[in-house]
Amino acid sequence: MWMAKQMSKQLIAMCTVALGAMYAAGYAVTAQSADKPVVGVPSGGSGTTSRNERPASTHTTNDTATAGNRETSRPKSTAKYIDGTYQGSGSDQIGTVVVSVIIRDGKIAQVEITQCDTHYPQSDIDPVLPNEVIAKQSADVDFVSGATLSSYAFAMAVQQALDQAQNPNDKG
Amino acid sequence: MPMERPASVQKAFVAMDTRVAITGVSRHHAEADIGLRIESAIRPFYEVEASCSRFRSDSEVRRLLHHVGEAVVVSPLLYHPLRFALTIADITAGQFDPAVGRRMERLGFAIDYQSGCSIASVSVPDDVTYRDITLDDEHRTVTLHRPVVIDLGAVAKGFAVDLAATQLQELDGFVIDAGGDIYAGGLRPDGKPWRIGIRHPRVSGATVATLAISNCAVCTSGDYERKSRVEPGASHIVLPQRGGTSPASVTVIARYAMMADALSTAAMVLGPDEGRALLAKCGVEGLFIMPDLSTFTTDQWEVYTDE
Repeated sequence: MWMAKQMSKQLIAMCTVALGAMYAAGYAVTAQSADKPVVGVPSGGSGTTSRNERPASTHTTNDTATAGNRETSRPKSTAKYIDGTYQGSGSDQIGTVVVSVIIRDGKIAQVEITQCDTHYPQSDIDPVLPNEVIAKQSADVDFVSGATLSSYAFAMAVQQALDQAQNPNDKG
Repeated sequence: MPMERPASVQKAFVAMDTRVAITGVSRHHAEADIGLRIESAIRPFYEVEASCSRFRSDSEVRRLLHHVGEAVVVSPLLYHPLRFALTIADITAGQFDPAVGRRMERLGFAIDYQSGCSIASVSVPDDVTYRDITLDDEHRTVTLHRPVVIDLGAVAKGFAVDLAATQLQELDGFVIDAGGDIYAGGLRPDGKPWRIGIRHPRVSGATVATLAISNCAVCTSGDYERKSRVEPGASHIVLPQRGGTSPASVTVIARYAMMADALSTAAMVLGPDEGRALLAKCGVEGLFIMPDLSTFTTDQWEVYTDE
């Protein structure tokens, strides 16, 4: 049987090792800018300071001149998606979202929510609650921890954007 | 030369089938630079997702099914969360088990939100367990002894949150909120710890407790999101056939999000008594909310509460 302290230490060590392994594998993309914080740089002028692309060893479309330009980039590789930026929107009973998907090196680099008009329903449940739990309004907190939210609107928006990014050469 | 007022930037993304909001606060970085750091911090989510998603036929974890019986070298993006999940499985004698993927598919949790396509593993037996998976730390290999659909839903998001946090350490404060799984680093713009509410499991829009935390993860597992459309009463957490009542939600505070994420799910599965013992044994704090809305906590939980 494991001792309490020992188990806690082992789990923390496993997390530390996991993050260290990722750093060693080159996943710590901002590591190179670690000792040069940008002080007082006018906004908009620091675009290249901390942007470190992944090592060039990852496969690219060999199409650097037109990368990011959907109209002219040609699907040469067999990557799943064609590099570029794509928009998609979705809605459900909680509202509408618009996302902007960036594909880089044939992979999803980010899916940013650029517009969000969603309203999670406030409950109309009888305000008389069992006194064990006192329900409070969440206005005085910065963030709320809860079971993972999922939303059909988000999925729809992502699917719409990725449909446009699909590489016709992809066999998958 | 520190700026008078700290710059604060928030960006929101969709990753791992949820909304991920990242907030960065700094007196020493311009807003544009904070924005770029936030964009670096979101990338691990897509990388972990591409390796660990059980919903995509081309993910690393899914491709293991083509090599049953062989030792397959995998990336650290898959190896480490899998290793962590198997350790929790070991500690809980298999009550928490990442080998539940096939059962989850049959409960209807089989659709890839990115493609809208459904995935089904017809030739996978139902009775596989974590013992059918072997790891080799030295060579970083995974061997499936039988066809196992591995579900890393309880660790992958936490791992991505921890990776994202490493990208933001230079800021004075930051919060990564991955659909309710939270890591709060440093301090708020006003120099105080971040205030994190715990969602009420039955009243939407309400919270039941408030934490004041810094450099900690807070993750909650609950029965109230992602319900099965196939089996009434079932949620995305596969509960064992045991007596007693399962919690409506369990919240865990830990140093790493991967720990808080996995242990909150494990405590849900184990139930109130064994669950609390597990959290104590693992040196983390937790709040259990039962379906009748009674609550109980681990011994040091109050250290983090802020009324």
